[in-house]
Amino acid sequence: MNLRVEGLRALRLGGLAAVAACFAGPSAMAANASGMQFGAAIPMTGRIAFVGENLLKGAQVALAGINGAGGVLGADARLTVEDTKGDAQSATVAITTLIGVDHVNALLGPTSATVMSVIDRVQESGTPAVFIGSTAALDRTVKGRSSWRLSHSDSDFGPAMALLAIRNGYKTCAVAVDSLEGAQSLKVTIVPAFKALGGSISRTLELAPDQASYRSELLDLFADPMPQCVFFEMSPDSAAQFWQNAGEFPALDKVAFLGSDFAISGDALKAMKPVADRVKMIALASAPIGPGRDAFKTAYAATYPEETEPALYSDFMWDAVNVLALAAQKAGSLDAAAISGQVDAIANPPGRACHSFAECKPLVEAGEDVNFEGAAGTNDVDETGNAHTGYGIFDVGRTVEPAGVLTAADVNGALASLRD
Amino acid sequence: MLELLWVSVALVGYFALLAIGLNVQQGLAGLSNFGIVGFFALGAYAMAVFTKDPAALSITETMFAALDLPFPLALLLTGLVGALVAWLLARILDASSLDPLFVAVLTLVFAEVLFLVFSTQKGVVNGFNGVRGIHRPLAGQVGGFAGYDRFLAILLLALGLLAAAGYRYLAATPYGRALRAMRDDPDAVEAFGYDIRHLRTGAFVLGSTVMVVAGALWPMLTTVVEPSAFRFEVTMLVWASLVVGGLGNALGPLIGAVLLVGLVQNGSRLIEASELSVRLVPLIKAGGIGLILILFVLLRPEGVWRERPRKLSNYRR
Amino acid sequence: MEDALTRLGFGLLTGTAIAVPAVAMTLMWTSGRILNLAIGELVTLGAYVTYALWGIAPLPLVIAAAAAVPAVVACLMYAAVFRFLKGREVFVPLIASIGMAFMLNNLVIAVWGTGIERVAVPAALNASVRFGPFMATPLLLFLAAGAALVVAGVALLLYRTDFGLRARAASQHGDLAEVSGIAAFQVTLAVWALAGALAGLGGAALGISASVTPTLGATLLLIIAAAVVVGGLGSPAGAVLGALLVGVTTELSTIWVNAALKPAVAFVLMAVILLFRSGGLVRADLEPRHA
Repeated sequence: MNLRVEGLRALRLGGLAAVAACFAGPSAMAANASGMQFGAAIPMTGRIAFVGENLLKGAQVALAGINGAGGVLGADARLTVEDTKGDAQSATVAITTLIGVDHVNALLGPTSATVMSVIDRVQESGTPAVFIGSTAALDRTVKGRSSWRLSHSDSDFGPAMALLAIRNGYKTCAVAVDSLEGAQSLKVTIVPAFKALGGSISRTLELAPDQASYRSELLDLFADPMPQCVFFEMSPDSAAQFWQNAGEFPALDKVAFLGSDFAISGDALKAMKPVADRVKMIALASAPIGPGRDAFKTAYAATYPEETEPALYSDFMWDAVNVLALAAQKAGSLDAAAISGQVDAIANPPGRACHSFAECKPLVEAGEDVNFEGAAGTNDVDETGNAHTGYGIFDVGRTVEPAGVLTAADVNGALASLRD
Repeated sequence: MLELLWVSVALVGYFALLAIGLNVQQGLAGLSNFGIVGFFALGAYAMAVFTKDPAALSITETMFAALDLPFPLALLLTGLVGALVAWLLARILDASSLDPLFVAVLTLVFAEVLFLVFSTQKGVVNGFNGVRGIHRPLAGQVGGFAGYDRFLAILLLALGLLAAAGYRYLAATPYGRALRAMRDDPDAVEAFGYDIRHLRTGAFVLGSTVMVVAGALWPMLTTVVEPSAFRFEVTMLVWASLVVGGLGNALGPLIGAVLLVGLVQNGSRLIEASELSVRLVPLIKAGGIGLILILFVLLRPEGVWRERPRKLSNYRR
Repeated sequence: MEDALTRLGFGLLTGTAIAVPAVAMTLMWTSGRILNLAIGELVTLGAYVTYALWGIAPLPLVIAAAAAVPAVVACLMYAAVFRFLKGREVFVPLIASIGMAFMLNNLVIAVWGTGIERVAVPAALNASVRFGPFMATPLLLFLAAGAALVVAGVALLLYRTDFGLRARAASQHGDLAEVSGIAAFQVTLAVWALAGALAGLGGAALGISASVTPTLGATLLLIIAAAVVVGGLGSPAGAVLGALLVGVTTELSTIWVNAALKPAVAFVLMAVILLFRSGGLVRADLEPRHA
């Protein structure tokens, strides 16, 4: 009885404290704000909650590295997460909260699903922001003065995929991409490039996500004329159903699949597991083969030792956090314009290549020019704020094995043939 | 801090308008519309088609038509298109069954199919990415997002109050009383010489048109029309607002929207003051809305705002 | 022609996968016109229980647990919430069930995360088998046979046992049944336990035949609902028929319709059937009669 009353009282006091914190929160926060504050607007609940969970992992790995190296400008960096739920209403609230209430120093996200609904708002605020997503719609809308996309765009990636197919000797290929983002961004960039390079597309399939079966779609995919390769991109959970059904088709053994970043994540490996020994999957990913990727994988494995490969998109987030933190470090200030002013210098050559905050920070402090090379690409951005990068080629089966590179020059060659 | 307040008030305004539309349908006529977001989307997409300047389309954007009409005319046309679509749907509903469950199912189908078409068919209104740069009226005079959010919040709040007053007026007219009576006992109303189909169709079209108008004003918040704003969760939140606020009374939708959209959705600071991990807090918030719904339905079915008993309708109670 | 037959076979496989949860949904509907949209989360729960115990416990125990845990949750749903909502307008239990779905889904994510989990099945079971134009795998045939057995068992239980008689009486004439000495609450609770178990088993089969994710049940919910409505709410036989019809129609539609619009096909089928036959295909024998 007594215990109960005590408990109730404690609950009430706790509630009061929480209410007080609610009103006192912002001003108190502003008073003791010393370290760099990141705000992530990512989907933590709802249909695409997996995207947010993966991105959060990347951010936490990066923050651990930053704070382990003494933080930004001598104070620990902090992260505030607002849930976009993958919808425009929540994304608008999330962005407004991060900018207007938390006064974050830099924004991470939002992702492709909601970025278009808040992009004008983010840019008007001037808060440095790194968007996450490969949609070609960002090509012309990221301005490069206060917002960037450090990972590749589909309008670069599509031609690179086409080139990869040609180099492997595939002339007749099909396209199978999810009906939302992939079909509307990737499909339209692969098809013309592949034709320009002398290939022919046997069939284009737009796969609705989350179906109970993809058998009929697979029947169409493997129908005559049988393609030599399939350009493939689906989110891991839809891909799990796709691969399970694909295993029912003997024709699966005769086709090569050409995948994207989606294919080299831990979840994608799980999705492919039942057919891993039968499928020939070559992934072209902005993940370069080299020290940038290695530094990330080492840091990731230290935080998440049980995972075989880093989670999908977590590398994008690692790059975003590191570049923004280094830009602030170089600027010597947490002022929005000051951080923005240094992003290009950190991300682009010239400068000494370095691959993590801990490695780059002493160089920046010594006044040296650095060029951050990330986990998901070289992060070299042009004047529009978009990255152009080479790609790593990976053989994907039970594991992800590096199998070569496609340099930025190669991709430019493919783009040139497209313009002819 | 104020930025968030205005954005929250604006969102409350949209949801209040949607909930008032639903109140006309469910509260007066007993029509369970589960395709609210379909009408909301229809308004926004129609507005994009009517107002977008074709010359301002970027080369990656495709639309089946862009008419570049002035805002007032576009708003009027959008309302008419919405009313027409709602009327057609009402005809289909009439042709099938009077069972409220089928009204729910068919309206849900309408919204789902509309969403699929808008989000996957790039030729309609640019599919997944939608169309940017939708013209906002008076943007030149009011200024950037910070100023415009405040203007929009006040505008929507005024519209919400106006619509609530309109609902109150409608409910007191003979037509409104006939609707309520039909909801409770269709046969009795028919015996009084009312045509039930006319009553139902009228309420459905009126409520849906309010939703379409709310959708038409949506680009004023984001300047963008793209599918992520039109997920089923919107329908859910409107229902939740109405159930929590109080079904069938004029101020219920407004109060519900303030409580759910304003406080529960956006008042996240309360939970975050505690030391729970960043991963769990959003999950608890999302699950919490579920719990609130269940508790209201069980313990306070009339919502926070009780419907006052009406003297005129005591032929039923 | 052969192509169409192949797709017909695919449709039947898809249909059997959703038939069991569809029967669960229709059983819940019978107790007081409750359309329980939280059933998708019971399916998810069944899949996760299977995943959690797979390889640790013997197979019969895994199956029993995959049925039992959702059954208990379904009983809780009924005892704590839905029994108080009988006789209220249709949207009231609908809203409450969506509230439950929100809670359950976020609970599942909090416990198991959002990643993809796989249940390891011997490779031989996934080998392709052909019968003329039809294609399947031994695993799918086992699961389809299992679904048929479960459905047959439910039919026997409802139409050939004393419990079934009481259950039907309680759903059709609750008060009358109470007067004639049937403990309506206990009987209805048992029906919900049965429905929860069916949803869990359906989830276990889906988890074994593809993958386990937090969105597993929610993404199939509308298809399951479409199957139930097409078949006729309140009729277990109709739910099975509806599931098969929805499966076959969606797979066959890919011959003519862009696969991106595949989900819309089931909805349009549902709308068309409602227009011409508002009660669904099969007349509901478990439908509560109204005054």
